Amino acid sequence: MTDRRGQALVVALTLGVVVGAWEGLARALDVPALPAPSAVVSMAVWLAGEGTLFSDVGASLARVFTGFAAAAVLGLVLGAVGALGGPWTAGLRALVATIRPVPPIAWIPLSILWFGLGDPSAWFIVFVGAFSPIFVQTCWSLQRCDPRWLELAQSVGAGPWLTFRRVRLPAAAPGVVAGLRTGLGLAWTSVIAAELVGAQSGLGYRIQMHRVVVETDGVIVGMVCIGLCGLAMDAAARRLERRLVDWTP
Amino acid sequence: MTARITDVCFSFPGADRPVLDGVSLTFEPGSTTAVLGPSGAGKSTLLRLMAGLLPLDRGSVVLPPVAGAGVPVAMVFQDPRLLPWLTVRGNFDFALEAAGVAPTHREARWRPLLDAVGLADVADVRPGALSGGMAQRVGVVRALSLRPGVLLLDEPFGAVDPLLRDQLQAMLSALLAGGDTTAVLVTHDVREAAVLADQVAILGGTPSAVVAQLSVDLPRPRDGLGPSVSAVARDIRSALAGAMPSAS
Repeated sequence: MTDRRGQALVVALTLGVVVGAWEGLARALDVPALPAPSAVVSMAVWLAGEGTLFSDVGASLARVFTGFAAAAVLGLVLGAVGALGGPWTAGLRALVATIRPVPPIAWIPLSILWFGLGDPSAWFIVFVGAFSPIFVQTCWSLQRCDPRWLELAQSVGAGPWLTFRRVRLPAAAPGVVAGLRTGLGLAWTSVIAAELVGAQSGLGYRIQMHRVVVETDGVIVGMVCIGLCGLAMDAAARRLERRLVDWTP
Repeated sequence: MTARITDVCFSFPGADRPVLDGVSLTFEPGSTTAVLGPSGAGKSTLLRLMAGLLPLDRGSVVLPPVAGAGVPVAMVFQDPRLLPWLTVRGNFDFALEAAGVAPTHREARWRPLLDAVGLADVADVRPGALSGGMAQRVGVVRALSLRPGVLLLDEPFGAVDPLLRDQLQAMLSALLAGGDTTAVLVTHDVREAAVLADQVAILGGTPSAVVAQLSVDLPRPRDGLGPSVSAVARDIRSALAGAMPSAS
């Protein structure tokens, strides 16, 4: 208890010192490149009052969910296909392994050429970011089922479909759900990257616009929003994860 | 018809010599056979061959046909092996569904057995909430609910504490008494063999074969601490000592 209170105190002190130093430095320097925290807060209040803050958050979230939904469906299905093993699926796994190290932002130039500026381009970048972890975790988790469970299924004479439904699938669930959560996190960072160059709305677009007119307080408001939304999405995903695989210790 | 195994041979893939070579045993209907032997003698392997979990290199396993809705063989593993994502009821349902028992007939299969082992109120909990001894009892109930002609038990009570082991042995003995299930029990415990078995087979040698066979003709129920069980346990131990590799 004392430990936790002590830790909370240290966290509050650290944040206080950093924000205080930032405020002091910003006031002393008085340059547009470094807005004071107080200026950031009043900008946030103004943007929220005006409504653009919420419409930007909404636009980014809508893109994330569209691209993520497509990545989830395709990642789960192709991941399950990849888990079947064999030469044909080895090709699929090799293909994903080749594409995987290319970061989503590297796809932006092609994406803009293919889909133009706007939503479809951002959906595609989100899709690219979220797909790999979902595919890889699904494939891997389905393949590495504990042999003890498979032996049990075999000993009671369970056929392949019953074994898949009652053993392989639930055994893989924690890994698959972890892949979905990682995918969602990458989807969020990807949508911001996509909006920085290829969109006319959203948080990524907004911080870029604030930069153009040297409204750095607006840039920081956007950055804080991006961080808070990412945090909230991960917390929601974690809650869902605990409910979906509530039998894990 | 009697369950029997004849000239069973098995090597693990890539091994340079077989684990089992020429194992033959006969299991009288309704009897319990204890299989003992040094570690690595292939006792668990023998059970897996009988369960069809491993393919025979040579020889044969003959299991009697079972009447009605039973299965030829069921296995109790060394660990309870309950699927952690299913409730106790879900674990029974899984096994019974695999055995082709209709959903409406399933509860009648396991409910009396679960009551009999004193676990009437755990049907809707997950295995994670059970103690080791409770989980192992559920594992035994799952196997018996399949109504197997032959029940294979792979050191089922090896991991529980001695007091609980006595209780679980008495429970198993009561569940098997009077039934027509033929049981094959792998164990390291000579006293457990003396309490539960009608026949004791000792595996030994490299590769393994049956090196000694004893029959246990004691009345049931047997007192695990009584003089007659102790005398049989001593006989089994000396037979087992003969099967141990010499410590040279």
